[in-house]
Amino acid sequence: MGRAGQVNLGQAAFVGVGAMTSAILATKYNLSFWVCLPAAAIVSFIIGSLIGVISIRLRHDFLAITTIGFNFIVVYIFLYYELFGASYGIIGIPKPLIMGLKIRGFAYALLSWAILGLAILLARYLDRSWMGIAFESIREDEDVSESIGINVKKFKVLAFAVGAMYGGIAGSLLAHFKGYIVYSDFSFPYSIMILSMSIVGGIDTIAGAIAGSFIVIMLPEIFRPLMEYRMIMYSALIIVMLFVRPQGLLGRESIVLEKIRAILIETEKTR
Amino acid sequence: MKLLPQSILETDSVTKYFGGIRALYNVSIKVAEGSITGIIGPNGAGKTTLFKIIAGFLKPTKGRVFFEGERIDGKPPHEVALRGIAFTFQVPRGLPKMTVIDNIIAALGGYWYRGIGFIRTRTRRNIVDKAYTIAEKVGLEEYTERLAEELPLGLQKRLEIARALALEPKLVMLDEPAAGMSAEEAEELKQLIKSLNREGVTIMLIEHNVPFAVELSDYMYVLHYGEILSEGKPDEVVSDKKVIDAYLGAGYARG
Repeated sequence: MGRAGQVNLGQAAFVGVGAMTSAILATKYNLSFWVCLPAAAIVSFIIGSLIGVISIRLRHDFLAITTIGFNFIVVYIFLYYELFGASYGIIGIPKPLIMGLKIRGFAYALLSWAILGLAILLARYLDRSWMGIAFESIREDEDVSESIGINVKKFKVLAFAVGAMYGGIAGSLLAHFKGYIVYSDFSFPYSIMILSMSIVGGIDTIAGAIAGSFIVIMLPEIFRPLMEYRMIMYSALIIVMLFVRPQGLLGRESIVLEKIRAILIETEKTR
Repeated sequence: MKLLPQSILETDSVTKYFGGIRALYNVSIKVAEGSITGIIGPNGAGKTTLFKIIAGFLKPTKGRVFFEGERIDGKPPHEVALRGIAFTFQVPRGLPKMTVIDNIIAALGGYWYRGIGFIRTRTRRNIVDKAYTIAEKVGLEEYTERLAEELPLGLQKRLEIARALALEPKLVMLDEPAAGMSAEEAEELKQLIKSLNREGVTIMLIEHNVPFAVELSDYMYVLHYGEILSEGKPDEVVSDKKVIDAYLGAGYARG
C-alpha cells in the first residue's frame, strides 16, 4: 500500500480472497498448505489486477471509495454462496504439515515469521528493481513518468496486484491458523484496522508497515478492558496520527529514524 | 535555399480543437535530422499544444504525425518516449521527492520497463555509472544526492534535460528552456544545447526569447493563432513583414 500512491481501503477483501482460496482447496480438494499458500497468492494477485484494471481511471478519494465498495461486495459474495461457506463459514481447515508433523502454536508463529521474512525480502528486492523506481516515479508525477517511458497504467495495475497478493498470503496463513473462517472475518472494519497499521507505522515503507502491525495488534492486548471500544481506538489512532505525524512513526523523514541516525553518527564521532 | 536533409519528424495538417476553441489548424512542419528547429509565436499560439501532440499527451483532432517515417499520433506518451522523443516541460516538473540521481536513473529504465524486465535490479554498477555520466554532462555532478525539489530553477531545467538525455533520444523537444533564466544561465544553456546538437541529437525548441531562438535555430516556424504564419531560416523569418506586424513589432527589426 502506498508505494505507487494508490490507496486501497478494502485490503481485508484480498485477505478474504486468499483465505477462501486456501480454505476451499484444503477442505474440498485435500491439497496441502504448501500448495494452498501459493495458490492463494496467485488468485489474489489475479483478482487484484482485475480490480486494478477496472479502477485505473480513478485516483485518490474515488479509488479509496471504490476499494471500500469492493470490500462489501466480496463479503456479500462470501455470505451468499455455499462454496464460501455462506453464513456458517468453512470449518476443518487443516494445519500445515512438515514431514508429517502438524504445525501449531509457537511453531506456527515461527512459520508465519519465516514467511513474513520471505515477504520482506521480496518487497525489498522489488523496491530496488525497476518496478520499485517506476512506482516511486508514478507517485511523484504521472505525466513525468510517462514522458520518461514508464507505462503508468501497467505499473498502477501491478502495484495493486502486488498489494493484493500480500493480502492473499496473509489470508492463507490466517485460514490455516484458525482452522475456521467465515465471511465476517473479512468485513470492512478489518480494512480499517489494516489501514491504521500502515498509518501508525508509516505509509510507504516496509519497516513502517511491520512496526504498525505490531503496535496496532498489541495495543488492544495491553488495554484489554477497552476491547469493546477497539474500533473507536483504531479510528482515533488514525486521526491523531494524521494530525501529529502524517508520515507515520517509521515513514520517510520519520523522527524515530532521524534520532537513531543522529545517535549513530554521534557515537561514530566520539570514537 | 539550402536543401534540407531528410526529416526525422513531420506533422501533416495537424488540427486540434478544444471544444469550440481552435488551438491548431493545418500545421505541417518538417524537422530535419540533426537540426535545431525553432518554433516561436505569441502566447496561446498553440506551440505547447503542438509539442503535446507530438509527445502523445494529446490526440490531434485531424492530421497525422510521423517520426522516422512511422505514424506516432495516438500512441501513448511512454511509447513515443521509448521510440526516442524526449521533451521537457515548460514549467520544470520533476520527481520532487526523489534525488537528482534517482530522477536520472528512473529515466534510464526505458528498456527494462517493457515486458517483465522491470523485475531486474536498478542498482547495478553500469546503470549507476551511466546516470552519473549524464549528471556530469549537464553540470549537475555536485547535486546528485539532493532532492529534485531543492534545486533552484536553473538547475531544475538542467535536470529536465538530464532526464531527457537518459532516454538516449533522437529528438529532444525543449519547451521554453530559457524562460525565467538570467542572461548568464541562458548563455550556459545555449552552449549545452549546441553541444548536444553537435553529438547528433535533433532539437526542437519553443521560445519566447526570440534572439535566443534565432541564434540557435537552423530553421524556424512562426505560429500565430494556431496557424503557421511564416517559416524559413531565422534571419529570413524575423525580417518577414507578416511576422513583424503580427508578433515582433517594428522595434525588433530596428533594434
